[in-house]
Amino acid sequence: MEGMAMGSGHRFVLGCVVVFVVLFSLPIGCTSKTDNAESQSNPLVMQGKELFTDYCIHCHGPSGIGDGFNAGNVDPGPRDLTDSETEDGEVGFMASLTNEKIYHEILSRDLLNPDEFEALQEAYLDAVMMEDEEAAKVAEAKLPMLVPPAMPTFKYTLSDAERWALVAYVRTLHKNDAPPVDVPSTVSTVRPTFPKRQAPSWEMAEDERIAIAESGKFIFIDKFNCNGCHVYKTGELGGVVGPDLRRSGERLNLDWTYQWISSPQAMKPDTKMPNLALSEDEAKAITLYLETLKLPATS
Amino acid sequence: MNLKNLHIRTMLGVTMDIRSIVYQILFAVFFAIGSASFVWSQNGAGSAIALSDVKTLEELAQVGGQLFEGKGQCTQCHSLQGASSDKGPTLDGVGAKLTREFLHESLVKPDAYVYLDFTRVPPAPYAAPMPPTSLAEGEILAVIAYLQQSSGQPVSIELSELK
Ligand code: HEC
Ligand code: HEC
Ligand code: HEC
Repeated sequence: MEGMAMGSGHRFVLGCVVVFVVLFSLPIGCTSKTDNAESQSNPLVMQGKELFTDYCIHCHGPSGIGDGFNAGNVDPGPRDLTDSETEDGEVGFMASLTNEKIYHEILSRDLLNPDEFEALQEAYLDAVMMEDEEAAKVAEAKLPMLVPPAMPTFKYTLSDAERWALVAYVRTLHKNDAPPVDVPSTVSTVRPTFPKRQAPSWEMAEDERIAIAESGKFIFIDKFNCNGCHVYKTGELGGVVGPDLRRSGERLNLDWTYQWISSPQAMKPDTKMPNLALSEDEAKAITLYLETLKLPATS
Repeated sequence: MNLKNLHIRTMLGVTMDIRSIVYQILFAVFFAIGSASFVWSQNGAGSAIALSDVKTLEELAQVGGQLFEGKGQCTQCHSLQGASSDKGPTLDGVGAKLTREFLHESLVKPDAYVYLDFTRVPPAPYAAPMPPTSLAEGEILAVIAYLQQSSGQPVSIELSELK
């Protein structure tokens, strides 16, 4: 009981401190009535800049040049978004993209299973080999621009309007001939929502568990590139944007992990972890993979 | 709309600074009275249960809640269901997120795994590192029960473990 009284005493002191802080800080708030006169520039670009700070600078860096604190942990390294022209004066990669391409094929793409991607690529190469121009065209249209999964998709995290705002901001980072981004008023401003999922049963035979966890490891790395933001194994490339996952198996409850990776925003709306639209099976497989991650106890 | 009102509003504008200071003093006084009476009500033993009298998991969690706010001093750094501090990560839902074993480790060996502040760029440790708790083993179990219960989880502690 003595300890308890002490805790409450502390609270009283704390209360007094709060009172004084409130007392002295508010008048400052009242007198500083200066308006932010500079916010005259394009509101779409301003919105894009804010989103870029929340979701992109860890890899691409505050100036977009590709020097974010996490840049060294993704393979390939993040694209230099200021790339206006190449060394020999040709149009740079970023300058060569259309607004639509940045919007649809980079920020709003669906991640592919590596084998799905290979199949598409093969169909295309086959058609080219057979000199079948028609078939090659069809196959090429299906083949999305090859953006490595190290660059997450934001289709399932940000609203259509927010992704257009990002395009508008990214366009200010390099010289280009693209027309100004013009967002149709019909574009949705609502973020996609993924309600909290019901976790599946975790009862299963041991060999089934091992097999599913193995497939989980495969998609964790090759499809979703979760390791672009998370350390998962000592000595392997892993990002530092999110928590170290090397002890997930000791730390996290399975139901919670399944629900978090299925819809992070349903549990924490402002989290920087993007929703990568895992199917139920994929979420289950990755959860069982994370369950296998343990570190020997340190004493 | 009506001229008289407009006039009063401009007058209000002029005297705003003085008035707001008066309001703040009033607010501060009420706040002080409020927190003092809150502390007082916490001290006035009333419904406090002793760990040795615990008969149900419900009561265990209740004792855990008392320890969380009181002796454990957890609310100095953590927010949970209303109590708020951002010196450490929020503990809302932590009883559903973390395993019982890991919760235990977090209290006795907090430096074995340091959870960073992921709102910072780059993520960095919180300014006040979590100290190993001074709570006794039974009290730690009670706090774990409280964290689980307040996360809507079934309590995974057996009463027989309290001996
Ligand atoms: C986890 C690190 C990471 C984050 C976060 C990230 N990117 Fe990327 N980004 C990459 C990588 C890696 C590439 C691919 C580099 C390559 O293709 O060689 C890339 C490429 C790009 C490209 C060019 C496409 C291409 O084919 O190279 C654009 C445009 C881009 N990112 C914009 C963004 C925007 C906007 C955000 C925030 C909404 C963002 N990125 C967040 C890592 C990241
Ligand atoms: C762009 C970076 C990014 C990507 C990509 C990413 N995460 Fe995260 N992740 C985070 C951040 C940041 C947090 C911290 C959450 C918070 O508090 O907002 C997090 C938290 C987590 C946690 C909770 C860990 C803990 O111990 O508290 C798990 C589990 C997790 N992520 C799994 C995954 C998986 C699986 C994937 C791939 C499907 C993934 N993450 C992709 C950034 C990322
Ligand atoms: C001096 C501030 C302070 C006090 C007091 C404190 N904590 Fe912490 N706590 C932290 C910080 C900072 C972290 C994050 C760093 C870490 O993991 O150690 C943390 C982490 C935790 C975690 C792990 C979170 C995670 O996701 O890994 C739990 C659980 C926890 N505290 C519970 C408690 C409980 C219960 C008490 C009271 C007995 C308490 N804390 C008292 C500062 C504090």
